[in-house]
Amino acid sequence: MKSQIWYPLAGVTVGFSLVYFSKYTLSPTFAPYLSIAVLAALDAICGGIRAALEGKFTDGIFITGFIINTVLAALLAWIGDKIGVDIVLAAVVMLGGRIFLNLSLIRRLLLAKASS
Amino acid sequence: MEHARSWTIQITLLSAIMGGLVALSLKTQDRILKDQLPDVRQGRLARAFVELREDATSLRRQVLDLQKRLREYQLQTGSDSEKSKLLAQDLLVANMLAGTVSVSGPGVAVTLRDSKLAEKKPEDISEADWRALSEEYYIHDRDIRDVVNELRASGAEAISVNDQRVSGLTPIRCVGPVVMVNDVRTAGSPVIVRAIGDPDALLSGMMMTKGVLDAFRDVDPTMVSIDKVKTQTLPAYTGTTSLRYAKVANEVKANEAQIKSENAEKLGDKAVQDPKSVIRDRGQK
Repeated sequence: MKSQIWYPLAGVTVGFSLVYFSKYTLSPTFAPYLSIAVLAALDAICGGIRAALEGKFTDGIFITGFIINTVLAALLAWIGDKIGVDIVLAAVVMLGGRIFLNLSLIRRLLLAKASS
Repeated sequence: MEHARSWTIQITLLSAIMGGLVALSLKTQDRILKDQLPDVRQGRLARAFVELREDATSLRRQVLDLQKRLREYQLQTGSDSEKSKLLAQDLLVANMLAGTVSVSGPGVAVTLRDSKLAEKKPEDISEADWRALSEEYYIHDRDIRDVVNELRASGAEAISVNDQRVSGLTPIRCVGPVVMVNDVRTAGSPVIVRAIGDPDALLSGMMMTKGVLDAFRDVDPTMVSIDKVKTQTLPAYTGTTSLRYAKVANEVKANEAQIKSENAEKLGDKAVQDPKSVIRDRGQK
């Protein structure tokens, strides 16, 4: 269990450096969508870890959850952009709240495991 | 155990994706910042500005030199025959009227300066209120234009504002703390308006009751001073003199325009006789 915790961290580092040191950039138009995608990914990761710790991890739910959430959030951001309302804030608040909730649950589960 | 490996792989993969997204996001934000800030440092811009201004000054001097040379040539050709002499004289008069020749003569110098009262802000007034109240302590572009206009009405033959010759194409406007005359930035206070013409006529035009300067005398008499000058020299207009749009009208059109301009006076007469006419001049308000 302990060694497994390091895999995601290593993944973040590898992905980050791969893209950061490449020549690739996006046009500024996509900046808001990008931050939403980051949030959705973080949310999916936290949710996944939590589910794994609870022993309830299911293959399909994890990956589809990430994709659907990202697409939906991007869609909201786009529509909000068109009609001049920051609907994207709804997604940000929801995803942010879930991330904190999952993090606190992960903490409890890990503490419970450590003490048992 | 199989199950455990599956979730580790998936989460690690997604973590890598997220890392990539974060990096992309960072780079995009960097790019936005770079797009917003121009790449040039302010110091370099300032230096470029000073250089360009010096260039402009030297170019203006060149214009002046070339104009002088041109006049010399014109005078030389003018000395050839009686006819061309007359032409050259006409040309000189036209140049004097247009302001492209430096001229000397008697006249007045009107000095407008911001009132010293503007600095004494009473303590019990807010900054915004004081700004509104102290408006009339400052010289504005409209005041300068009014003075120029009144001087013209009093028969001024040549006018300069802050040593910039006022030509038929000269704009006078305030930009921040400076007065732009002929697109040259000059001091906002004091503003010195010089006019060549009959000194007494010009002076009485300026001193007229309810005239352009009367309002200043009510606020603070030290804002205005008018001096008769025996002889003064006004600089030449060195701005652009090339015409891109205006052309000499053909004879028929010119005649039509002339008739219109004669008719304008009749319309004026009608307005005077109309009992419902509004009184427009400042003095009668």
